[in-house]
Amino acid sequence: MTAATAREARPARDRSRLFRLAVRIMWVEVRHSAFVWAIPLLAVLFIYDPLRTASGYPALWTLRASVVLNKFWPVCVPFATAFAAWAGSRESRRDVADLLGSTARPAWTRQLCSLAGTLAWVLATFAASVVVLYVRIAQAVTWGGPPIWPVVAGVVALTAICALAFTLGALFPGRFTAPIVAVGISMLVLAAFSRAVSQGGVSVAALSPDGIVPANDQGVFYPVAPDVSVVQVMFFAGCALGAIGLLGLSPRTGGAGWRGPLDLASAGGARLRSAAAAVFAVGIALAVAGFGLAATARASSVTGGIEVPALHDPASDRPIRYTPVCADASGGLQVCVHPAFRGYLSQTVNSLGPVIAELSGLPGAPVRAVEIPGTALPSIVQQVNGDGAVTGSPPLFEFTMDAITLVPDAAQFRDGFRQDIVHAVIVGPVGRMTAGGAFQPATGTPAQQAVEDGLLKAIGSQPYPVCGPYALQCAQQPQVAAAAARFAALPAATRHAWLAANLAALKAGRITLAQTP
Amino acid sequence: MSAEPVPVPLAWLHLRSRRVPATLTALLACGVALWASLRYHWWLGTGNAADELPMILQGCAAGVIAVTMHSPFGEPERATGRWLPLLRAGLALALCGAAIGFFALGAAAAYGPRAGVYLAGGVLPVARNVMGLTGIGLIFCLVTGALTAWIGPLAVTAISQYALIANYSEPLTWPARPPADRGGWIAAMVVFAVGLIAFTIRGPRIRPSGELPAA
Repeated sequence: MTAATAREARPARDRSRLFRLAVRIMWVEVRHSAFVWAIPLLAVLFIYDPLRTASGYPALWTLRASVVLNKFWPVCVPFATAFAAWAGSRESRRDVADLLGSTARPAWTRQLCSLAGTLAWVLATFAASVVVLYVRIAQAVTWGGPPIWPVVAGVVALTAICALAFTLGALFPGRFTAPIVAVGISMLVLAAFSRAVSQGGVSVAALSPDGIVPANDQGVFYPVAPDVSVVQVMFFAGCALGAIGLLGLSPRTGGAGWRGPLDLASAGGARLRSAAAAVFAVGIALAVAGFGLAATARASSVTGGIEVPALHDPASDRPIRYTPVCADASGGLQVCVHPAFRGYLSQTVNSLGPVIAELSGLPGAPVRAVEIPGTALPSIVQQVNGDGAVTGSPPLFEFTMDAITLVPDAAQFRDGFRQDIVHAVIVGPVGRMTAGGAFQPATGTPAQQAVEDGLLKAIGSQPYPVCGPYALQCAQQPQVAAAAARFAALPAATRHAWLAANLAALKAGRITLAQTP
Repeated sequence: MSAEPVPVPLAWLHLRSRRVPATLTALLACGVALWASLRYHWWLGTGNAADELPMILQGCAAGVIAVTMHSPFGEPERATGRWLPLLRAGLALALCGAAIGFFALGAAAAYGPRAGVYLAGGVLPVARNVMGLTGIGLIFCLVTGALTAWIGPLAVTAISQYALIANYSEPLTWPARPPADRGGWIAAMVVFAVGLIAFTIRGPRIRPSGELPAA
């Protein structure tokens, strides 16, 4: 072997040795990580709520998978941060900082291995829970595929908070550091969640991984754009790099120090300082860029999702093709739903059948019922949290599956549809927007209310909610309730005949309460 | 033969060795955080959600109290005399009282019913939760050692947060129960009594390094 080849071979051998050494230290850290004590607790917590909650949601990927970030991620935060801070404060807690200061490798290398040991357990626990959840969802789901971007965002966000907590633990070591850091970061997460809920997940609130529960049909009619997840990944990757860079720079943690580049005598030297400063600078730049992009996040009026204009791909606004699943209800009504909601078709048919049997043949009674995206409903219907509206000629009942509440309630599902249809046929639209932009509900005349509630009572449903948040008149008048009871007690044929003869006059407001049968 | 030390200096030394001044500062910070959360409307809304942040702070206070129980002297301290169990119990009770007092002060300072600023449920559930969660922390002191006993209050707080939001009602979720719920009070007081008695008798589990064992 010549001298030249020997020189070339040595760095390769050194690199291999360094890699083996790093893996060995990592393995020691993984074996000694205290986080393993938190795994059974997290498993209990995972079964206690996220798994249970997901099982209660409609069997749709976007909805059920939302518990990863909305339910499980927040509960990982206090444990991940507490144990990361605990690991970060280890050297000072054990009074070995001076002893380790004399080792050949910089403190940063040692600390990164320790952080990696905790992080490995945190991410393995998170990933295992996601796998269990996704397998459970896949067994029940009717449409779509597993969303990956939210999981990536969750992993990066956990990495960031672990890095931040580890750095705080190293900077401020003490017996109270772990619980205080855990609670402090949990409070930040809660504050961000609060903002995300109040702002609907737009603007900087989009940075909170934990946010509002998506609409039932999110990801069903249109693909879910990854914009928000990309911004979250950018922001949290920046935070993670910033925290790691700070760890390498701060003299309090045995880092290279903040002094000028000429100060080669400080721990780690100029190379280490340059590397740490570069990591820190890149991290801050990424975090600022992520924050800036998040500030532009807005709700899409087409897809209902959150989009970031600079990252948004218009191709993701194209609707997903599907063939509706249809069935006939009594009264000749055809009911069509998206195949994702195939399981709810019979329930929908059973809900609409009795009301159509009462109204069939009357002017304005729908001849077909079709499921549409929630964002396609008239905004006035969305204002009153309605489930659908009767539109067009021949009349068509367009509805959404938001009637499937997160806590399943068959009566609520059934009554929502029936109230919407009866109100549309007997009274008309749910209300109107005034010139001042205020919503003015149309609850109908007393006679209209009596007939409306009588019809609903006859088919076993609750009266139309005149006491809703937008109603001017709250309590149902006793005489209206009495007239409704009288109307409901009539034979179905008599009710139908009276409506056929008087509906136009009733709808025009020319029939008084005393004139109702 | 040396004379037995008088209780007051001994108690003072006990408090110093447990870093009680730092503990009181941390508990005061929890009270200030409660005041700020009420005053500046950090909470999520009304109803159950209004209890979320106070409960996290109560869990933090219980974790801090549990960590305070760590002895820097380890095994030799157990041979120092008959006062140690009483000092342990006294310290736990005193710190619980201090935490409840700081929370009450924080809530009182922020109180403004006209602006809708008040602690949902009043101070009674604060007392119940601080004592119950401290009981969990004291039990964990026996299992994991005091330095990592914050795991217990943290875990129960996390479970209770779920219960609070989803309206679950199980024996383990007493911090999420309404203020006047008798079952919640019984569960919390039983946990506190068991934790306090066991801790008074046995003291925290001692490891040479104060660390958890290797996995």
